[in-house]
Amino acid sequence: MTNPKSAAWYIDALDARAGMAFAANRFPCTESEPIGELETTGVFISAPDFSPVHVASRTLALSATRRSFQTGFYISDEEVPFATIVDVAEFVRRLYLRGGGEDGPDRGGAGVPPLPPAAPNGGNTPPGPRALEQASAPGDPDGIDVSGGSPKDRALVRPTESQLAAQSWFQKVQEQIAALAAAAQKGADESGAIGLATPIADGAGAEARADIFNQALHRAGEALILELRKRWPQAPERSRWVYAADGLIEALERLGRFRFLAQSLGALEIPHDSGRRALGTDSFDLLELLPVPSSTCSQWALGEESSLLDVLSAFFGTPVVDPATLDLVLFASALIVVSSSRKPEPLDTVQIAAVLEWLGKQLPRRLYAQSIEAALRRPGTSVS
Amino acid sequence: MSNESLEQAKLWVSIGVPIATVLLGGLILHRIGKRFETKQWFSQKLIEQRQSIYGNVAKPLNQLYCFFMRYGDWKSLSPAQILVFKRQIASELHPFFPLFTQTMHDAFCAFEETLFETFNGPGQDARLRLDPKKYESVEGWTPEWRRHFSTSSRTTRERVFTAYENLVHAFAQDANIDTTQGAAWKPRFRKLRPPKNQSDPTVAPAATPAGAIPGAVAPAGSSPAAIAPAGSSPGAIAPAGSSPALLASAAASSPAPAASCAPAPAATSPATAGVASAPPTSAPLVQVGDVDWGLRVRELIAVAPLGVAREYVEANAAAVQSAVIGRGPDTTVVDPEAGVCAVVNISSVHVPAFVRRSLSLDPKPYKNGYDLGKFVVGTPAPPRARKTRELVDAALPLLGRSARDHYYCAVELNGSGVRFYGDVSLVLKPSEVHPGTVVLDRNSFDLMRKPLLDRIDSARPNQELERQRVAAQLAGLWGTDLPAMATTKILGASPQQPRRLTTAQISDALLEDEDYLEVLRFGSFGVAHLREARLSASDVAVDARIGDRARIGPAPDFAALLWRHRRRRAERSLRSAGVLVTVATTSGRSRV
Repeated sequence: MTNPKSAAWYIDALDARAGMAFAANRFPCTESEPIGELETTGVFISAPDFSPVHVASRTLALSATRRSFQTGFYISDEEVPFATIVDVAEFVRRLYLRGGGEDGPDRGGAGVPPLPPAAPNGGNTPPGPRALEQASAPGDPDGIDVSGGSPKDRALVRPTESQLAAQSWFQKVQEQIAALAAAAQKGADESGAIGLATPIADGAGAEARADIFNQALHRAGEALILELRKRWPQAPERSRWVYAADGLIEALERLGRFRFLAQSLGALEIPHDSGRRALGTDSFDLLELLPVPSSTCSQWALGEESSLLDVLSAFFGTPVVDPATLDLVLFASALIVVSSSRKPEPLDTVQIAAVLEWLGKQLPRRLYAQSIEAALRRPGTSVS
Repeated sequence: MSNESLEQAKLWVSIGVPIATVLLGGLILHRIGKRFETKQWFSQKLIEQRQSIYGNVAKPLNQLYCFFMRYGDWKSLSPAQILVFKRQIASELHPFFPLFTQTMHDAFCAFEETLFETFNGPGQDARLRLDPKKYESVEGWTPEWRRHFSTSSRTTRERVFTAYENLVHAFAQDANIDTTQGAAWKPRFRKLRPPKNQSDPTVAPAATPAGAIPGAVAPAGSSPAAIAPAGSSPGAIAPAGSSPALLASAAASSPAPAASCAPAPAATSPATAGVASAPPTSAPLVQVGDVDWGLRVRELIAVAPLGVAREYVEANAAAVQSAVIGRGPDTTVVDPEAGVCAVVNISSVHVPAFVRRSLSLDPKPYKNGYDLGKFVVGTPAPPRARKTRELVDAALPLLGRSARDHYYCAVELNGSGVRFYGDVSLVLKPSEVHPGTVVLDRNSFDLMRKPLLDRIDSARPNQELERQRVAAQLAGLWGTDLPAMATTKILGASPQQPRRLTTAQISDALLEDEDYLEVLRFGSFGVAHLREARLSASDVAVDARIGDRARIGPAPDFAALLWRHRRRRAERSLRSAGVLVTVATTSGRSRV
């Protein structure tokens, strides 16, 4: 953090959820100078590109506080300074992403199927389709039908030496992201640049690495199926549940995981006449249909009706260290990056490289002081 | 003289006399004709001027009438607004009484006397001759408003009705309108008399259609306001065919209003409105409604060089005013839907919640900064950070209402509003902006910026009072001043060229980048109050590009995809609530 008594970049007005802010290079507000020098020009930052543009008058910012913008950015009565305008822009971007996790059904999201109410005797066993009751629980390799898959696919459930090496690589990817998340959670004394190194390279063992990556997608798929099973619907919510199930099938098909998880999916007894074809190709539309485990949602204090899209958005704003969440993040990122028209095959190394490269660009690019990082993580930033 | 000479003389006389008679007669007839023509021209001009002046006062007059009769939207008016209308009417009429008959002058004085108790002491406002108990259901009522009501005398609805009717008739006669022929308002006007057996005067006659109330709430064709000529929209300058100099000279030569006519207190007279450097006193010297925006337009025209340049300025001024009121270039028909509107920009992320609140009948579907004060990132701003806004709020002419209940809009013609405040521009229906709504000719926070700030600071230690004065000088009313305010903004800011302005140029100049006319709307609004929602063409282009890249790669940033996704949600949400969503393309045109 810079010296609060010197000129720095300060936020005049901020709408966190909208990803909009006015900032100016000035001295902090004081009792005698409640708004600082109004004659200085300011900058305006807004989604989707967060590129600062100059505005001639700071009065625009003051007027914004009559609308959806909050006045300045304060922590413990002190106006928070930023060293550069890039720091401000990245702060606004991360807030925007973090706020994306709070869209939810009340704010225009499609809404995932709700969890059924707890059983009267205090148990939490949801009623489910009979076939699913009889099938092995997802996560059990014996319950996964890989008979139709290639040797490469079969290897997913029977690791070899080369795959163990690839697992080591994947662990490094996880560790890099985890280290970045940990740094963001801890904060720093000074703002500084951070980022993800290129975590995958061509060459020997690349195929095994692809297998490991696809395995992560497989685990995420299982977790999503399990969550959907938990939400086996009461009659009024049936259509919503079926819609979510269709979304999950579409997602698994795109990522080449459908045939490996077919038995688990089949056990969900999804009607054949569902409107899957009506889902379209937009990956965001799919992501906001998929419910995620409440243990994942709780890391950002998100409600249990939050979707995978909400989790992904919150993760990019304020990442967390959790392997299960990382699997879901990889799944969602892959769904966004890979083409919707590709063949339903497991991802190859080129596609995986594109996914990881894209993922790295979405993660935080600047690290802030602990107090600022804490403000970024804190829920309740919504203004609508 | 010989006989021959005599005969010749007789011949010449016999020829010349008829010729001379014809010539003389022709000359006399020509002079008479010329004089008649001149007189007719003068009469025509006089009537035009009267009609123009009536056009400026018809709406505020009708607001007074509605408030005192408790008709129409009277509950949305405050006593302070009524006093603003009173002052506005007085400042419009007093300078021009020489143009009217004594009958009209007397009718106006009687009307004013019927409604208001005046001469209450130096610096004291006039008081309404009404029972405050009957007005406690007015929106935003506070006991403090009782001070605006007379404690010594009350009027009756019948007296108000008669005074108003006499005044409108006098206006109509002066404007050469035959109220017995064609004009449909007179018979309906009479139907408004409450039945004699109606004991509760607050109950409007059941048989009376709301649309029959003269003026604002009446259909255009049946309103006395309809007698105003096409060129004399509220707040409009003189029609193109009439010389602005005529108005100016009339104003300069007009004597002081008759003493019996209860002139506005000296502190609020139009003459002081232009005195920018007058020392502050114990009461604001200028109040909203005192500013003669029409005069400012005339001054703007007057500084243009005589000849073609001035003619272009006059024509462009008329074009701006036509565009503002919604009259096309080749028609005399006014369509308010085609005129200016009040818009509020909001981020697409907030739109679904706004729609949901609207549909669940939340009293405040659209939230302002006060409503949202508790939601912050970080910790709440300390009081010192809010001080500036409070200073400005205290200075604004909010007509006795709290700043917390005001929602700030911008005046817009065909564009997509102030993009800095959000990517979705919510366009209010024209009927949802009350004619008494205060409009500032700029962002109100300019009060805290040079050069206005220097002027306010120079009044130390009475800065607060001076700030109020300055704010009032920037203010006008939506129903009457807007055309002239828009004209001063557009023509005052652009170099005058010998070219006619296009609608797109007018639209662009009305709300240009950071510069806009600020509307201080009282009360929140929901989707039912919207005419449409507009998206900017540039945002739609970015949106489409993100969509293309999402489809064919490389994948756009997550933030870009989220932005696009939220915009789609917002549009879906608006459409599901029946709100039309359009795209404001360049040059001030829009497409669905």
